[in-house]
Amino acid sequence: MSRARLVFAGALVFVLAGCINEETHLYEIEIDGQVAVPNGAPSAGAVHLEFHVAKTFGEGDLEHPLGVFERRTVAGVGPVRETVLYPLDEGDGLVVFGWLDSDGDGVHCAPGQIEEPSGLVKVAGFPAHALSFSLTLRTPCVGPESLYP
Amino acid sequence: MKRRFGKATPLALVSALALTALVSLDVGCGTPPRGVDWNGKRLPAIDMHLHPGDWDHVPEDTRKFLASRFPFPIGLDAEAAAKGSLLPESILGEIDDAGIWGAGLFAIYAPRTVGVASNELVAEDLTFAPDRFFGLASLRVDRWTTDRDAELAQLKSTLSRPGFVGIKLAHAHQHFRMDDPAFFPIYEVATSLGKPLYLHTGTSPFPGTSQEPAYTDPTYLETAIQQFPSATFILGHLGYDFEQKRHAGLETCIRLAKTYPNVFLEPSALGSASSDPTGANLKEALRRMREAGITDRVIYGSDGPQSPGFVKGYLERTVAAMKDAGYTEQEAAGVLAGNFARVFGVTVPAEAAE
Amino acid sequence: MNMRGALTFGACAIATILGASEAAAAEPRTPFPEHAALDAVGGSPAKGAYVLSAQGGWPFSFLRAQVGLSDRITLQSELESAVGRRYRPMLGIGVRLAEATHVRLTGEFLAGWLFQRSEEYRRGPNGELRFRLAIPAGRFVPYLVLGTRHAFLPDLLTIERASGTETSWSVRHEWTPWATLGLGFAISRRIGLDLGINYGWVGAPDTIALPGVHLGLHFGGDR
Repeated sequence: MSRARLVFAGALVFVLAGCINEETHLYEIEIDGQVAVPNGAPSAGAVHLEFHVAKTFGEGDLEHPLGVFERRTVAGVGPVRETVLYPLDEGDGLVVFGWLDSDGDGVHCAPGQIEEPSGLVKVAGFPAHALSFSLTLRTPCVGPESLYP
Repeated sequence: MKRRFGKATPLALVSALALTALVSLDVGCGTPPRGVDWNGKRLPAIDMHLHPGDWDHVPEDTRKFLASRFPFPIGLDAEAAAKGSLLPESILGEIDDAGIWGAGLFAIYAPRTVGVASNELVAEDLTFAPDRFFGLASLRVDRWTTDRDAELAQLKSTLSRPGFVGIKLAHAHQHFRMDDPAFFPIYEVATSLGKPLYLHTGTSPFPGTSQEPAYTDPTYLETAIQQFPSATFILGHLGYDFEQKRHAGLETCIRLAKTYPNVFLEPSALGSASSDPTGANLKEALRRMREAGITDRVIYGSDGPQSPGFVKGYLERTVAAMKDAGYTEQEAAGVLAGNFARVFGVTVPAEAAE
Repeated sequence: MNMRGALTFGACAIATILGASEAAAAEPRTPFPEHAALDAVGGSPAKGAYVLSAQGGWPFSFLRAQVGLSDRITLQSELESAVGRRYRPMLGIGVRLAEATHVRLTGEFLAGWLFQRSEEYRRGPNGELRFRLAIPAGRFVPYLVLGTRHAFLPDLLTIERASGTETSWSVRHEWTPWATLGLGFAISRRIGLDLGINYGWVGAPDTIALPGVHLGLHFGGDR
């Protein structure tokens, strides 16, 4: 009987090997965070968050830091709770970048508009299904590339 | 007579026809004359925007994207198809077929999007036609907080090598904001060495591109243009929206060129058959630049080689658009080669137009 | 294939056909009603008859075997290759739908698998429905094939959650409308040739496909 099962499993693997095209592995993370601005700084406006792999799996020259896999917009500074699906095949580590949309135009520091602070944090404890972070938006008008590594 | 030759006649006829066809194919082939025909006069042409490369240094998602754009069955072996286009001898063949004398070869370090064509690769390719190929160097910006000084040093070193005439940057592909002062030391290098900067503006269809305004909208370059009046900024693609296939930054580019004497414009790629199926957008761009009186700031480029015949086809579309917009011979000569020669300090020889 | 190659190829093919006609001079001058070329390009050989075909070309090449199970039903198998990177092994049934002196209409249904090796691997079950219309005129058989092919490409998604691992399958569909226009020629009752132009629009309608050409050799007989 066990031999029959082995044969069946082998046949199934063989069939599946000729059957799977794209294979995607995702890792669910429930992430609790706190987004803040420095004391006394303006805090009104939505906060736009980007979730990045800290480092990609590219070979040689193609390896690079950062790669956004999900974006979220939250109502404002304060507590954040989001569930994200991390692409295990793309990279390692988790980085959160955010910026405060003070003027509500959806554009980070449009020319001639007020400066909007941004910030970045590398989340400790990856990989885990529950993580937390603390992010302070203190640097005006820069992208994640200026804050990491 | 009829009976003796009856059986052999069909075979003989077919053979003769085939041979005649083969011979006729050999007659009239060969490199076309150099230059662009402009109302009976030949004008020299330089294509400032060509991409050498290495398929192995293209990210997987981009390889799949490129393969999907090839017609079946070419896409089944996209590597072979692409490699054939990316080699320096292929690029030389493409510009010869188009009657183009000189070509700008771009390095790029964009591991998140289009891949890496290193300065070393370009330096090697320049040796293939050192009097006709001109290199634009680039640098990595993805580890700027830790590697900035090393990258700037490497850039300076590359620019001192023979054949390198400028710097290539692509904020959308390389993921750095156009208005971020942290990256302005690149413009300091350009100024100190007198090397013009070519900058990709507008969105891009490549996977992984940063499409946000700060990475694509040429408006965000104005601060740098103001701060570095001795640096030459060439705004590539005129801020075109390649996703929506429409003009998005054209008027901004024209305004910047009219306002600042160190701004030049390059209309590559936006007029291709895939990005501008009717040809209307390229015609509009060339018409608007002439109306604005800035034809002396326009430098021709194609963004080839892409596929066999693309370089020649893009030149033909651009020349047709200039004629349609009423360019004079002098204006066309400037766009096609004169403005490049002036900006990059290159001498165009007499044999560039036969 | 460039123009020079195409001309040379076509000239060779025509010369072969014309030359081969000399070899068939010993055959009766009256055209025979059934021959391998007709069975190959028109489909549905008679009960007990078989035909083996090898068609080489660009980008598609084929190996095909047909056996007549009855006067109307045929069993067939084929292996198709596109530039050595895309393979379709198939099994199927042909049904002779209509036949007259100068017409043969056959419907065929095949099922099998798709294997594609390229930047994007593709593999999965594959099915095809096609119709063959042949118009025999003596030794010559102009023919038309129209078909629709469907490949189903399964994808696997795995999500690791705190509560456990979930897997789910999704399927993509690749459609290939197909057409062949060709000319068969009977060298003898048992041996035939054909020359055809193919258009397989792989991945329609979101893609561009190039037309192709093939030259085929067919061997047939009674079982």
